[in-house]
Amino acid sequence: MSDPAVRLLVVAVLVALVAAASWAYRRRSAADAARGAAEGEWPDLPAELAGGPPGTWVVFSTPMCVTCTTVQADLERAFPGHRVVKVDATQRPDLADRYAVRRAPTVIRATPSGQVRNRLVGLEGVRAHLAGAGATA
Amino acid sequence: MAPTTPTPIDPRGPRFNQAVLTTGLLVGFLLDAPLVVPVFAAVLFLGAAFGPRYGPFLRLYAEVIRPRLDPPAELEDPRPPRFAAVVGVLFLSAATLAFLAGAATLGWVLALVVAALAALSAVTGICVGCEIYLLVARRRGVELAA
Repeated sequence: MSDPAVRLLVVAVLVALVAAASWAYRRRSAADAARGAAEGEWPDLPAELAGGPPGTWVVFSTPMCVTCTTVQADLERAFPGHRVVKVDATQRPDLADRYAVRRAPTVIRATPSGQVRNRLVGLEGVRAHLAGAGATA
Repeated sequence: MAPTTPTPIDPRGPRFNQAVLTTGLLVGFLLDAPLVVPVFAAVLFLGAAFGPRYGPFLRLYAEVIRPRLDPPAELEDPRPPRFAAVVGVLFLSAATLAFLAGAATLGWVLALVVAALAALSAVTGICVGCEIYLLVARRRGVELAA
């Protein structure tokens, strides 16, 4: 291990590994966020969460997700009268699996009958949606 | 969940700390200077054990760098990065013991594992508290259902 060339090579391999892993992580996150685009792709919300016009927003969170609280407050402010429910995904792995929740916050928006309209991932996904909704409202 | 939730932090603080850690360990490795390993074990320990005010680079970020930046877009729970720092302290302490015992290769392997994980965290900005706990819970959910 005394050869500087060997050390340089080890560092180069390490940098390449880290670059590959972060690229894979970003790609996976982007693919997850892109899944929300198509309507009718997801099963309906269970009756316990659906119900009540004009609709429901389910915010999937974890016990240590600070951003989830921000997102919940943003939605409550932007859509007064809508039902905004925070669901701890670690307590409801069944629901998290149903909507392929990988990361908190992931937000599901459903009609009063429980039909899923949107699936938004992360603060940036929710903020982008709110900016779009603000333009059309 | 803990009865009291700790004050959320700017996630860029730990990211800066991780970037300095990675750079320090890699430079130390290139120059064959094992002294960086116990030094960074102490740096991480101070921040993890006594809070960000006592972590030299966390404090540098908070007092010098952060005032020059825009406010953070998101905040983060301080517990997951703190836990990661504790794991880093354990690895770097084991690496230090390896160096003292004359096993330099083992010492560097342990130190470079820390450097690689810290680099990954600094580059992606991954929110561990938003990811891993989900996966753990899913596995637990599967076991309960089985």
